[in-house]
Amino acid sequence: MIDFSILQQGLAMLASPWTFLALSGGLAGGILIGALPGLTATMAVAVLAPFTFFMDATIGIPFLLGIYKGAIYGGSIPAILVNTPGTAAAAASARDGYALTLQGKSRKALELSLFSSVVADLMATLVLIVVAIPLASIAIRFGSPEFALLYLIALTMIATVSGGNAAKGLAAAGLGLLVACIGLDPMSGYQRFTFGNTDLLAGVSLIPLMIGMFALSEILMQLTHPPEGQQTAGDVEHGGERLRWAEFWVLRPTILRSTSLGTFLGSLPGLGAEIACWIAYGLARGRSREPERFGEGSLEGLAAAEAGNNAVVPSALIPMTVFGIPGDTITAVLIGALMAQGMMPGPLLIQQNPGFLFGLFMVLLVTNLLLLVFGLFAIRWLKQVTRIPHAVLYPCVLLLCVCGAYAVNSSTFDLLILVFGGGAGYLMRRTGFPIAPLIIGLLLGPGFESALRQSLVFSNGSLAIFWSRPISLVLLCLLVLVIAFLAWRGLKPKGATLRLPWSRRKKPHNANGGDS
Amino acid sequence: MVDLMNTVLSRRSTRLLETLMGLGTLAAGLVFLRIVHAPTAPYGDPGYIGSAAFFPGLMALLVAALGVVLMLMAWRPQPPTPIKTGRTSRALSAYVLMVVVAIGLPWLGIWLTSMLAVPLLALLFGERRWYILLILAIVPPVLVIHLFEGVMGIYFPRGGWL
Repeated sequence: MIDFSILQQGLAMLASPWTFLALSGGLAGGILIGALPGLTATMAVAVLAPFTFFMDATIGIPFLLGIYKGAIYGGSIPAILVNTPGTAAAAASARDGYALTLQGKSRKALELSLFSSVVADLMATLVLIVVAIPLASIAIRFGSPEFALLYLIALTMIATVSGGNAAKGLAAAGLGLLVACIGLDPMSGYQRFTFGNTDLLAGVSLIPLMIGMFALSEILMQLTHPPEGQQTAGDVEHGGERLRWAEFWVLRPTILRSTSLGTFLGSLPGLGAEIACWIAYGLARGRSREPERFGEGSLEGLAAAEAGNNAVVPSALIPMTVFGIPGDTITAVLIGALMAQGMMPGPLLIQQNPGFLFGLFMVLLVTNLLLLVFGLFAIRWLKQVTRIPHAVLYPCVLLLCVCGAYAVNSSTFDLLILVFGGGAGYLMRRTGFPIAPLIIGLLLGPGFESALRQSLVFSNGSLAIFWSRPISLVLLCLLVLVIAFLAWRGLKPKGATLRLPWSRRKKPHNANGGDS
Repeated sequence: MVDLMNTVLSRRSTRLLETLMGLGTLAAGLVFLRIVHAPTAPYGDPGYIGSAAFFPGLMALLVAALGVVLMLMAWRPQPPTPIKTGRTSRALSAYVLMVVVAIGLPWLGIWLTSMLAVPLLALLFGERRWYILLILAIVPPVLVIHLFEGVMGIYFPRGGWL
């Protein structure tokens, strides 16, 4: 039966002018940040997350969702205009988008990118709404063994898929789980590995560490590998004819296929928009009647890449809202922001704050309409942002990182965590260690530990608890299948591009495990 | 002149670096194991499921084992994934700057720290025009600090020198 009070709460959240303002501001800011080559969506959400701690959750979380969606879309603008993807998720869009720009059809390319993004995002949001509630009703029945297995599946997938080398991914996840042990033991309340430091009682501050690992390390990577001869929007001709309805209409099978693929991939932990765009692009090429046009300015290729990466955004929220497991690094930051607001993503969120969750779903739908409006403005005016030099951009990012990390707890100790994260993130990226498993291990660590220990305590140390219950047996089979599939796939080390800044990776590598 | 951007580390150096990363992972695991298994057993018996030492002990063992695997993998017959050298010295200089900012902020205060750090980082990015550096020293700190202090009510350390 429909609970009208929940609908009322959700609609009240949407009707609030502050929520609308925050959403619009976040979306506009996200498009702007996404369009700046070198600033990733993860970095944007991580750096701006501290701002939301001083807002109500109904304002702060829509703000971050706006940034997330805006940045993923915004990354396609410089990809199309100057062949420099603003975010890794837009890398596939650069191939045909830039080819269209060189043919004098940049306006058509930008409009196609926007419309494909909006359609894909809308469809994936509807899937999220339809799927999340029934899945959550199943998740509520989960006990400790099921959650322990679920966390293990998520960590295995993230660790092995997110880097070129499975051993490095697993080591990063293990280190994340170890760092998560610092602070109070979740079951007995013992102080562990704090060495008498009261700043570590609540564990290592997640947001400063994430800002360091994603943003400071990106600054250091940009210094190490500065862009070579980067074009600006002023160097090429823009404009040309507009996209015709008939041209867009014939692309509907491609967009539908890419959206379905992006939605599926996004709902799996560890697979972010930057992988989905390439797989969707490859699939579209395989199914196309004109595969030879891919890379030469194919509208099909551009639509597939854009639909694929934007469909990931809402679907990555499925594991987050249902199980409390981040689908990618951006949702990891979102979980951190929700926890800072006193909310625990997962089945409890749906049980305790159904109105808030319904409101978020409504916000996601409205964001699509706003994305269309803001996107049309961005197409016209945002090409100028590609002129901003890195020498101006990154010092400002550093200042925001320092102030944002300090603002979380008003603690200078958090600044040390920030620079430690920056150094560790840089070292990991230079040597091909993926950052995502470490962060997600750190995030899931307390939950995983509690679930594992509770399960073993209930069963007096017997592992049979993991296969003696029907749901846990299914999850155990799933874990075995995941491991078998990953072993079969044969994880091979990938190229040196893994160690370049995220913004300049143009190959279908997933070096960063869902960082977009 | 050596093209730093397209130079990769030699196979031997890459193997050495990969070994060091494996060694670092092993060391992290061993440090946690050492603490958990200390004679005084600070968090209880690591073999008992209910103790606070059980999970860290298990994870430390896993990490140490993976460290060994990484060290062995660094010396496989197949050539390792090459590592581009790039301008590491600039990145290290920037990192030193970041560490100085983090440590120095409580003593130097937010204004002095940010007014020095922002243009210095711009210098490392290759900006040499004095007026741009001057603008960077003033405008971003004023905007960002006022945003945090004025709008969000977060007050930063002013430093002992004021």
